[in-house]
Amino acid sequence: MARHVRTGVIVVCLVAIFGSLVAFVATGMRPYTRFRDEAIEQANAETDLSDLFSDTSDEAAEDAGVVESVNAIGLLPSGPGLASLSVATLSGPALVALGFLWWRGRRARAKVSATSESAPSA
Amino acid sequence: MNFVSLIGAAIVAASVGSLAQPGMPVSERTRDGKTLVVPDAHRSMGTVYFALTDRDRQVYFESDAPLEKIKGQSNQVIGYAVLAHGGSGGLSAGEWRMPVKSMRTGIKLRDKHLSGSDWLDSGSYPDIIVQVRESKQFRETRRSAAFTAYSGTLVVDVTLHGVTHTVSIPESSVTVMNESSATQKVAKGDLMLVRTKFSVRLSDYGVSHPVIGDKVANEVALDVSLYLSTMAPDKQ
Repeated sequence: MARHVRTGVIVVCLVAIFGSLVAFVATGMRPYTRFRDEAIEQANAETDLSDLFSDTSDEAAEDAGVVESVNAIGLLPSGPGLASLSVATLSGPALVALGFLWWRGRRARAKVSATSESAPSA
Repeated sequence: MNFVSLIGAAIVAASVGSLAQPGMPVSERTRDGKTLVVPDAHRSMGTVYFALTDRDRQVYFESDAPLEKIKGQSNQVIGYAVLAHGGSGGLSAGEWRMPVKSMRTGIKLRDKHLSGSDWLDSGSYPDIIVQVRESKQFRETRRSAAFTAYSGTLVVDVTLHGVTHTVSIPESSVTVMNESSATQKVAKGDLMLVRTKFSVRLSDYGVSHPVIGDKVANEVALDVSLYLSTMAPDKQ
C-alpha cells in the first residue's frame, strides 16, 4: 500500500475515533444515539396547566419526570439512517482498520528483516 | 360436531375463561375522537371533567432495569373523570385512555418496538385504559379561594395489553379549581388535576420478552398528571 494512502486511512480512522468520542462527551454521554422529537418538544413546552396548579398541593408541586428531546451521539446506535451513527459504529470499524494496518506493517517489516538476514554477506 | 371439534371448543372455552377480565364496560370515543362518550349512569354521579389532551405532559413512565433506564411520556390521554357529589373530593367514576402509539421515549425505533406485537401490541390493543372503580378515604388537604385539594385512595382498573387488573393507589390527589380570569387564560371551564403514582408489572399483563429484567424492568413506574375541564374538548 502506498505510504500516502496508508497515512490517509490512519488520519480518517483517528478522526472517526476522536470525533465520535468528542461528540459523545459533548452531547451528554448517552447510551444511545437520539434526535429531537417534535411531539416531546411540544408536550414539554406546554406548561400552562402545570404552572396554574403548581401551588395547590405538595403532589401537584412535585415535578413529574421529563423525557428530553435532544440530538446526541450515543455509545450505541438506535436505528437505521442517521440513528446508526454512534461511538461504536464509527470507532469500531476505524479501530479494526488501524489494527489491520498495524498488523500489515508489522508483517512487512518482519519480511524485510528476514530477507536481509538470509541475504549472503559480501 | 365430531370429537376433535368438541375438544377444540372446550379448549377455546377454557382459555376464554382464564382470560376473562373483571373490567367494566369501556366507553366509546366521540365522533371527533377528542374524548369519550360519558355514560348517563356516570353523568348522574357527579360533575364531569374532560381530559385536556395535547397540552401538558399527562403520563410519565420509567423503567429502571440493570442495563438501561428508559423514560417515556405522553400528552395524548383522552377521557373523563366524575367528581363525586357531596364535596368529598373523590372520583365516583371516570375513564381515560392513553394511545400506545402516543408514548414517546426519545428514540423513534424504541417507540416503534414498544407498540409492536412483541411488546404492547398496539395493533390489537391500541389504548392503555384506566377506569375508576371507587375513591376511598378522600379528605380535604388544602383550600383557598381559588382551589380545593383532596387526597385519598383511588381504586382503578388498569387494562394493558388486553389484560385488566384492579389497582389501589393510595396518596392520589384531586385538585379542583373554579373558573376564574386566571384559569380562563389557560382553559375554559372549571379545572381539575388528578395526580396519581403507581406501577405495573408487565408480566401481570401478559407482556413477556427475553430482555425483560435486563434492559427493560418488569415493574414500570407511572406518574399521572391528568388535567381536566368541565368544558368538553370540542368547546375549548
